[in-house]
Amino acid sequence: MPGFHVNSDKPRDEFLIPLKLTWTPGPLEAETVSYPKPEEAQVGKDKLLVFTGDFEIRTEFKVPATAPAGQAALTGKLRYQACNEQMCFRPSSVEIHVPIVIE
Amino acid sequence: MRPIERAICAALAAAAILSWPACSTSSSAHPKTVQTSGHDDRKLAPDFSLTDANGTSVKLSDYRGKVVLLNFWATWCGPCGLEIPWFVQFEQQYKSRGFEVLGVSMDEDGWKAIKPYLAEHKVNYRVVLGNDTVTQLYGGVEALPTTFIIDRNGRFAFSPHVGLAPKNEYLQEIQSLLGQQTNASVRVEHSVPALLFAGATK
Repeated sequence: MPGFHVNSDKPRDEFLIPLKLTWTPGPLEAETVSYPKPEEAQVGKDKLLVFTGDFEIRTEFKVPATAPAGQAALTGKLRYQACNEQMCFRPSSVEIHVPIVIE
Repeated sequence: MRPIERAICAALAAAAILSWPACSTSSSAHPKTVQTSGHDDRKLAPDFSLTDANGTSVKLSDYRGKVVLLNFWATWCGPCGLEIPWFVQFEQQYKSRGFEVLGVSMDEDGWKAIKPYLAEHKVNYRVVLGNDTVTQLYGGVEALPTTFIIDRNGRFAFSPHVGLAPKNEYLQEIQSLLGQQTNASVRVEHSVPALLFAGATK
């Protein structure tokens, strides 16, 4: 939403809730999750590290040797907490479902 | 009534806001009703029971008779943190006049997150740990901070502040209520000082 931001994956303040993408163990093994470079946002006297607008979070997966071929799905959860300069919404999570085909 | 007693009563009636029992023809003290605020149309703030940092159960109704600033907040809420120093100041400045701040933290991590924050920010007012039951009573509280100003009769005195509000707005609302008299009835009992009638003759 315009005017809103989410905290980055590594916020400066220990009290802030970081953006976090986690994957449920499944047909592929999640190895690394890479977040974009955050922006700085001024809130009061604090400079926060945040993400705004559209951004990408990349995950590298490993295909185990025992992974069965065919259709499968990756499931995960993205936890976030959004604010603007005036207010904050409570932490929330969205479920992620990615259909894949293992060949 | 003797002439000297009538003179004393007239002087006292001009200066005081309470009836002086000695002026009454009856031997018992009159109950005195302080001027009502006329705000019975205000909605009653829902009562709740939550626990503070010491494990003590706290009810909103415990604060009846006081003006209360009820603030829903969280340690992860930046705008909330901007208001907290103001609330610390209000608590210090107005507590003696019957005002108190009550913070309701919505931190899911509980006291392990809240206590260090309270210490770091030198919070001088009571904070309780909130839950979804209480937020539902207060309209959902989807955004933080959300702040209610409650009068001495336990009623919402103004529209809630959703999000960061100007400090002056809080000040004006609090001060208007602190200047407001309650609609409680009080009985005043006095013993007439013997000195007042020194020299009077029967």
